[in-house]
Amino acid sequence: MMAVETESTDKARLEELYRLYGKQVARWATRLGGPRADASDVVQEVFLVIASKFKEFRGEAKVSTWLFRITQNVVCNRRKSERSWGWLKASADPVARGLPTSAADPSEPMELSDAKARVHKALDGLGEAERNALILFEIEGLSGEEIAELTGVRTEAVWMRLTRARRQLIRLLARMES
Amino acid sequence: MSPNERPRPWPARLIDTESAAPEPELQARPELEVELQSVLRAWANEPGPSEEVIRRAARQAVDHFEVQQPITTRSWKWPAFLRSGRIALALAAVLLVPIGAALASKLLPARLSRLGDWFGGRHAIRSSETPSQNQIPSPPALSTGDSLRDVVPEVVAPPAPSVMPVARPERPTHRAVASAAPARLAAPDADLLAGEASLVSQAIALANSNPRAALDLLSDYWHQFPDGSLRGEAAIAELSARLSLGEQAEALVRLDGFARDDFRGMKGTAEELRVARLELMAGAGRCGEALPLLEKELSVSAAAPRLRGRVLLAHAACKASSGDEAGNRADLKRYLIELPDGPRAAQVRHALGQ
Repeated sequence: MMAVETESTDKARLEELYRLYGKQVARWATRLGGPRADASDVVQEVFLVIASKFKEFRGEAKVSTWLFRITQNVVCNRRKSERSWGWLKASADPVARGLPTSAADPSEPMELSDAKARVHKALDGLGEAERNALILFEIEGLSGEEIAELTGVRTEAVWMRLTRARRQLIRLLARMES
Repeated sequence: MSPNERPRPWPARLIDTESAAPEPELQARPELEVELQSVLRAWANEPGPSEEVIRRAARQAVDHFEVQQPITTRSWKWPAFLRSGRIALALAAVLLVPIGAALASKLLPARLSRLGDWFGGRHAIRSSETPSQNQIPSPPALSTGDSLRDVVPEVVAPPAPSVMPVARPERPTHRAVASAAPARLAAPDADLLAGEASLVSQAIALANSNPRAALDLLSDYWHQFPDGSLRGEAAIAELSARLSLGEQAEALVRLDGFARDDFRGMKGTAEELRVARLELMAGAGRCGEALPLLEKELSVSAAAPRLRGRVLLAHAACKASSGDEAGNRADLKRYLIELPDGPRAAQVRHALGQ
C-alpha cells in the first residue's frame, strides 16, 4: 500500500516537473541538438531519460542544473551516434568533402541556407563544452553566470570556453570561406 | 577569483553587434560578420518544439516511468590483474579437472574412483569428435565392501557420448500449445520471450545514451539466448551502440560474423544489417569485396527506398575510391532520380554542383 502511494506521488512529481520545466528542457534539447536533430525525437529521448533517472535525483543540485546535465548528455550521445550513423549513411561524404552538414530547408533563401549550413558545420568542429557555451550565450541569450550555474562549472571556465569557442568558430568559418 | 583580480568583461553577443566587430578576425571580414549574425539571429528566432510535441513526450515518459523496470547493468568490474587472473584460473581448472580425475581413478579407493571415471570418461568423449570404444569409461572396480546396487546402474548404462547432437526442444506452435497441455508448455516459452524482450528493449533504450551499458546487456543476451527470437533486434541494438562508441571496425567484425551465418534468425532486420555491413565495408576500404554485393543489392528492386538510397551512396563511394569519377557521378544522379526528396538529396545535389 505504502509502495503504491510512493509510486503515485513520484508520478505526480514527475508530471509536475514536466509541466514546469518541459518547455525549457525541450528548447535546450533542440538548440543543442542542432538542425540535424529531429526535435520530437530528441525531446522524447531526453524526457525518457529524465523519467528513468528521476528516482536517483536527491536534490543535491538545482533541478534546472540536473535537467540540463541530462539534456546535455543525451544530446552529446545522440550527436556522437549521429556522426557515426551520418558517416555510415552518407558514404558519399568522402566523395564530396566540405559539404554542408545540414539539409537545406526549401522555405529559406538559398544564401541563408548555405550560410546556415556553413555555420553549423563550423559549430560541429568545436568541442562539445565550447559549442554548448556558445549556443547558450548567443542563441539562448543566457548570461555567463547563468551558464555557469546551469553547467555546474565556474564562471571563469565559462568565460574561457566562450572566448575559445568564438575564436575557433570564426577561424573555421574564415577557412571555409577562403 | 582574488579581490585584486578584475573580473573579465563578458564579450558582446555576436548576435547583438551592429557595427563594432567584437573579434579581430571579424573586423577584417565584414561579410563574414554579416553572415554569422544573420544565421545566429534566424536561429535564435526559430520557434522551439510545439506544445503538442512536449505534451506527447511528457505523456510517454510518464507512462514509461510507470512500467519501467530497474536496469540490471553491472556496476563493477574486476580489476585488470584479476581479470587476467580469472582467465588463468579458468584455464588451470580446465586442465586440472581431468588430471585430477585421472589421478583419482588411480589412487583413490574404488568407491571414489567412480567419480574419477565419470569425470575422466566424460571429458575424453567431449574432447573427441568420434568417440572410440576405449574412450567409454571402463566399469568401476568393485571392492569387497561395495553393494551392487551402488554400482550396477553405471556399469549397465555408461554416460552417453556428449558429442551426439542433442535435439533442441522446438518451440511449440500456437496450435500445438492450444491442443496439448497449454499451461505447462506455454509458460516457459512466454517467460523466455519476456526475458529476451526485457534485455533487448533495455539495450535498445540505452544504445544511444549509454552504449557501454547497452553492450553489457547485449553480451548477457547473446550468452543467455544464442538462438533467441530477437537476435535481429539485438544485432541492430549492438550495431547502434558500437557506432555510438565509434567502434566501426568492431561493428563490421560482428556484422561479418552474422553474414557468415547468413543472418540466421534475423528475418525482419537482415536487410538493414546487410546494408549496414556493406556501408561499413565501403568505409573500411573493402570495396573490392563490397562492390559486387552492392550491385547485387541494387538489382533487387524490392529493396526499401531508404535502404536503396544508402546502397547507392555506398556504391558511389566505392566508385570514387576506385577512381571511377564518372561512375560516382552516375550513382549520385541515380540517387536524385530515385529519391529526389531523400535524406541526403541536398548534399548529393551540392556534390553534383546543382
